[in-house]
Amino acid sequence: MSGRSPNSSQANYIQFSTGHDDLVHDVAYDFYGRRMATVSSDQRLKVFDLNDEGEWVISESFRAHDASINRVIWGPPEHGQIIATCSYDRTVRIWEEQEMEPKGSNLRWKRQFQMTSESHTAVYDISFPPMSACSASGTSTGLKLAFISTDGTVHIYECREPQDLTHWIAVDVIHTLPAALGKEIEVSFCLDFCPSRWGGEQLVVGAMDKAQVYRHNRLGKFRPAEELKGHRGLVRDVSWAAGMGRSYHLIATACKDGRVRIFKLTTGAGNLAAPKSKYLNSSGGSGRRPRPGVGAGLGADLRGQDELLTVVEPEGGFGGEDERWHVDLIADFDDHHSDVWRVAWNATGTVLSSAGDDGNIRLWKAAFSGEFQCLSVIASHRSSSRWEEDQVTFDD
Amino acid sequence: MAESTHLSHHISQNRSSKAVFARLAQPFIGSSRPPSSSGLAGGASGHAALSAPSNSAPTSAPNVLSPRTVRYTLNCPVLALSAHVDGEEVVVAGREILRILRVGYNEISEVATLRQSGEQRKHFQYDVKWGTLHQKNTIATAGTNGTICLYDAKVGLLDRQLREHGRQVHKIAFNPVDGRLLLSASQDGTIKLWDLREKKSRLTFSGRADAVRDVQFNAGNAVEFAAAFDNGTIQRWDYRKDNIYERKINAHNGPVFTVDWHPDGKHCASGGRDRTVKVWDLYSEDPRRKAKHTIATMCSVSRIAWRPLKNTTELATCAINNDHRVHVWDLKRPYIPARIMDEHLASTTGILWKDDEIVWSCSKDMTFVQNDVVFATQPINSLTHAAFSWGPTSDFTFATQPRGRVRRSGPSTGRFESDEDLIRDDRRRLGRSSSFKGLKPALSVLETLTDKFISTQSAARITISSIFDTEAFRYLAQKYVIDLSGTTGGAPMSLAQACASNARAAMRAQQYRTGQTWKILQMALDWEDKMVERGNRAIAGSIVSAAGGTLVARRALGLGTEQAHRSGAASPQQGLVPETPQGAATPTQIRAGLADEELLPLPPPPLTFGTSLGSSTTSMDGARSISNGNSGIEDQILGPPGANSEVKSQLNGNGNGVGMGGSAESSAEHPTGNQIGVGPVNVGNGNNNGYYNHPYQGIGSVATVAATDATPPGSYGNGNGNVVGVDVGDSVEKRAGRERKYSLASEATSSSYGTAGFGGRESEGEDDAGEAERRMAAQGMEAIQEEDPMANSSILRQNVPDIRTPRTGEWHDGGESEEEREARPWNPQNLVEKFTDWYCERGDVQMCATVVLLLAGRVRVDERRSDEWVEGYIQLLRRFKLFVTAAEIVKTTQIEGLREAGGNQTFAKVGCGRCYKPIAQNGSWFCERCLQIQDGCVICRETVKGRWTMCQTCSHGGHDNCLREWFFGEKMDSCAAVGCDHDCLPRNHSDP
Repeated sequence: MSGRSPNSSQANYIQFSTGHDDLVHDVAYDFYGRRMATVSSDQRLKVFDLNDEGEWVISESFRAHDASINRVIWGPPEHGQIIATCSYDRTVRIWEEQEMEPKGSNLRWKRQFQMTSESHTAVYDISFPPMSACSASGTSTGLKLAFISTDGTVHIYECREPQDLTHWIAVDVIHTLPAALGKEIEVSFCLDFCPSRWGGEQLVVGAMDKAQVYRHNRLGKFRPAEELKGHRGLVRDVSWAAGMGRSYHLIATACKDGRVRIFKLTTGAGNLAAPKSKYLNSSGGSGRRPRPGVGAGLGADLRGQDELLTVVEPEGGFGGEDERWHVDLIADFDDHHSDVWRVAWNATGTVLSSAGDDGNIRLWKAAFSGEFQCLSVIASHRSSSRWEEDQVTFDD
Repeated sequence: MAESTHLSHHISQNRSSKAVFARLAQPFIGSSRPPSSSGLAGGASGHAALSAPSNSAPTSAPNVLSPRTVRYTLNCPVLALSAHVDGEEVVVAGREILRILRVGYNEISEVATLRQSGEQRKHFQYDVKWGTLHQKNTIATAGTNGTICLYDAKVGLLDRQLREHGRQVHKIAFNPVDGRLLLSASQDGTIKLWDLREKKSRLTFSGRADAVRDVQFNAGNAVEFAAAFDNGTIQRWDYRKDNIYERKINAHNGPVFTVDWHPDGKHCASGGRDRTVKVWDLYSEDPRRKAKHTIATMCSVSRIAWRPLKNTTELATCAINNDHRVHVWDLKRPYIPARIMDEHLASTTGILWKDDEIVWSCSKDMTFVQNDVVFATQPINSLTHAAFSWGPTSDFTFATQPRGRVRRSGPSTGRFESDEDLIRDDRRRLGRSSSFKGLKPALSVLETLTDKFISTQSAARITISSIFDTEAFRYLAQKYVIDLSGTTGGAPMSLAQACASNARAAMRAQQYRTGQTWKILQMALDWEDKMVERGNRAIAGSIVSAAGGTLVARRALGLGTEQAHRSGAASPQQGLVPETPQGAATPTQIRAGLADEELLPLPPPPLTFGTSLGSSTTSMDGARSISNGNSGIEDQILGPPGANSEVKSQLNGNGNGVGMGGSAESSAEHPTGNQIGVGPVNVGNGNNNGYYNHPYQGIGSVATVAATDATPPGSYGNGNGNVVGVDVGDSVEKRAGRERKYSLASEATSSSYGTAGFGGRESEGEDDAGEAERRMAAQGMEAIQEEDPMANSSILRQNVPDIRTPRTGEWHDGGESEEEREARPWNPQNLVEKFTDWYCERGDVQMCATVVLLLAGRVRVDERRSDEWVEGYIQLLRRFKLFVTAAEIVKTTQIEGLREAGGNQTFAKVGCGRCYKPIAQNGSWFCERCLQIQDGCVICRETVKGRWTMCQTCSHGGHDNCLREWFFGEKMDSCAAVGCDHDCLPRNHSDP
């Protein structure tokens, strides 16, 4: 995107007070970017609205959980104003705004559902899959939610009729850890859905010091796929970049070993360009697709090299059982010099932000060469936030 | 034991030196301790296990760097515990057990089992307390039957029983100053004070507040005690005044389960079913009686224990159920537990600070555990200090703060990276507590709590315009032309015009690069279009020249083009059609047949014509055609074979041309065409570049006769014929590999097809071509020529390829022309690929999507990618609330998935008018929640089961017909609803 003037990297910086009594652990914009929710250890969920001056004005604040709230996310806009939160109190809660209740009343956000992690463990992360991926997988209008708790189990719940958010059912479970962890061990879990709908639902899960991609098989169940290797500490956060038509996927991870890593996933066979991927999913009806034998005649030549894979794993990846992705570590930064806690891609998947214990937020962007470089650093000195211009200039 | 005692004593003195000391001392101690010393523990050693984090072996050898967590398993759920004043022994009580354990540094051993009376056995021992001063050998238990049993710990026997409470005794408490005084709190609502020297209770206090859950003496002022009640109150009593409490506080919602005096003797912490811990000043004169501090926990609080430090702000809690962990809270940071000890598998029933670092806990999981707080998990370590989120575009909001202690972390996933952490941690704590010394002792730390945690997270919203220019996006979203036909508003325009328009828009939005891109695209498209035109001319010219034999190409161009054009446009259908039948037999006809199939889908003649020309022509118009003409001539001279082939082709062409001119001629020529037909293929293989030239020449020389014949009818006709011939040849050559047999037909088809698709913006494009090819193949030479006009037009199209071929050497058919085109860096296909790649890489879906939407019919784009671009663009538009543009795109796009979604997923939700809940089935008039039918028509009161018409202002409405009758039949002005005076249909504005 071209800037409009030389000082294009000037940033409009407006400070505000969250009013939380303890650390804010997550911030989430709604779909339109006009509202924002913050959650904190003070067990409150706050909703802010953007006023005309571009400032965040508090709209609602209420106690949402009985312990530190880890994450907050907004639901897909198709289903109204929905917020999901997860907490150390071992629950995931679904909140829906009640339009008819007066603003500022505690009734404005109503708890519609609560999911409790079965093993009574803290819930670390939650994620909604992109709506289109849901609809593509044949389950149509269902609203899904995945969460991961301290025992390393990913639960996927679905609300079949999103008009009524009070009924959710568990549809899938992934056990990401081979064995139970000792109670003494520091744990870290995170997950993120692939924002693209191509290839069905894809999920990247960071469990302890491993990050793994999970993909739907033919039956609509998640199966482990590629592992993102190289982490030498707990994986604190994962973020899957919006594809926006690129021929590859980018996944960023934040790691306790102080590194921000970016992984690039490319198809080995360049299947991306193959027209056969056309709406595979929508034709599948509830995720079931004809067995390979049905189209044997036609598919015979298609299989060829992929046959091995098909044989080995008869229920391979959904919508692309022959899609084997090649994982490259394309960036590995230790600029934070401390634990890295959060990574997030912007909406177009071009700029990555990362935050660490050093209190700085760094923005990373690919230079012309495709190499990621630090775009700027947002330092957290109170009331003296500064912007650093880095070697990377913007496109113009 | 001595060593360990000494050590622990030392530890309690100075923790930080301990760590250092311990590391030095470790081997020393380990060796000094005889192996048998662990044997001293006897059976207990089997139970005692170090639940160490990772590296500590489960041995009983002391390892200072591992937590001193020791577990002892009993055979029955433990419900309470109490420590001997000396702190080495603990008594644990359960339904069937009453045991004294000796807790050493690293092991726990059982000292004695107190025998319970038969009757007592039947009742849970709900509380146990070890006597204090003067009664160090007395152990008291409280049972569910209301009996208090006194045991002699030395002897291990039941001493006597106190039976006065009618119901269960929840708690008992020895007076810390005079151990002979015992308090008991009972479900019967009374508290009794016992003097163990007397037979009966000395005093009975009635809180008049339901059951008493807990009672505790104030260690600072031992004549006072606090009591917790089921109705949510806590009371402070002075036992010298037994009729009324000193102070009553409504502390909690629901029962209060526990109270604990702060060591300052002034404050008291209480916890209850409302899951909160509250700290009260029990001497405050403040009538508001507000809690000084509140900690919100996850579960009902069953026990509270202040950490035994001077001016402590920390307390440990455990929960009744659901949470088996022991939390240590610091009032300075009430929301995040300072430490969590997760050692039990069932509810923790009792907690007790052995010293300021060791917590003893017992649980229903039949274990007794010694926890070391220093090694306990610190939840803050697994909480992020930074949070941020990206808005739809350039918006970024964050809250961040550096972590207090920045650690350089290693690969370890353990709780501690190194012992430095431990030391630092201790120093921190010591430093903190030392700062308390400056405070006046009278003033409790709880009053001031000066160093209370204040979040220093700075939060801000940043707009990074360089990442995404929102203004420009909005502007362009509205200005970009995405639809040529004008169905989405705006006048219909050509592709190039659209590009030009978009370029202007981008420039105006100061997106110069994007503007340039659009301009380049526009130029490329223009160029291509021109090339097509020129190509036509060139062909025509060459034809003419061929016919003339000696004509100069240029002249031909000038003349021929228009002729060709005109003929192509007008004649194909009219003039040619009738004559077709004759040409059928010849090879040309095969093509014709092919052409037919191809042609059918094509748009009206003019369009196809233009397009085909444009696509095929890559070369510079004038020069090329001229050169072609010239070379063609030369070729003629040079290569007979080529000439032959061309002749043949020309013959074919002639045939067509003849067809135009006159049936007789065409028929006459056909035979020749056939004859030659075989030849051309061979020749074609041989000749590459020369080919196209040849045809023309061939016409001139070999096929002269035919050519001549053909020429008269229409120059264009000749041109067609020639082209066709050429195509055949080429196809033979090139396609030989793929589809030799029907190469001619198929090739022709494909080529013509491609062009057609190009020009006509036919989306079917290649698929159809493929079909056509296949069919052609099947039919082979015998292709049926039903419609000559089509053939002609196809020929015309094929002409274009010819023109191109000269340069590349490959020419004629669609595939080839494509290759050729691709060779040109500025051809739209290449440009679009480059552009989209570039913009996509930078996340500019707007550009990618717009290009794809505009040029979808003209260039090939990978479906998946274009789909993602368009979808991503629509998403962005929606995020900007540019719904109109988004809808236009959904309408325009050729991506079926999006169109489908646009059709299927657009719906309006209906809510119940009473309960405001959504109605599950859209379009239903019955609310399943209220179980009532929705309000009906405002006039007839019937349920409206179809279209509901309403006034948008007052929102009253109903049946269409009713309203019509009301307003127009009865000429009413105002709303039909009772009490609504709204003027729904102002007559002055609209009168039916």
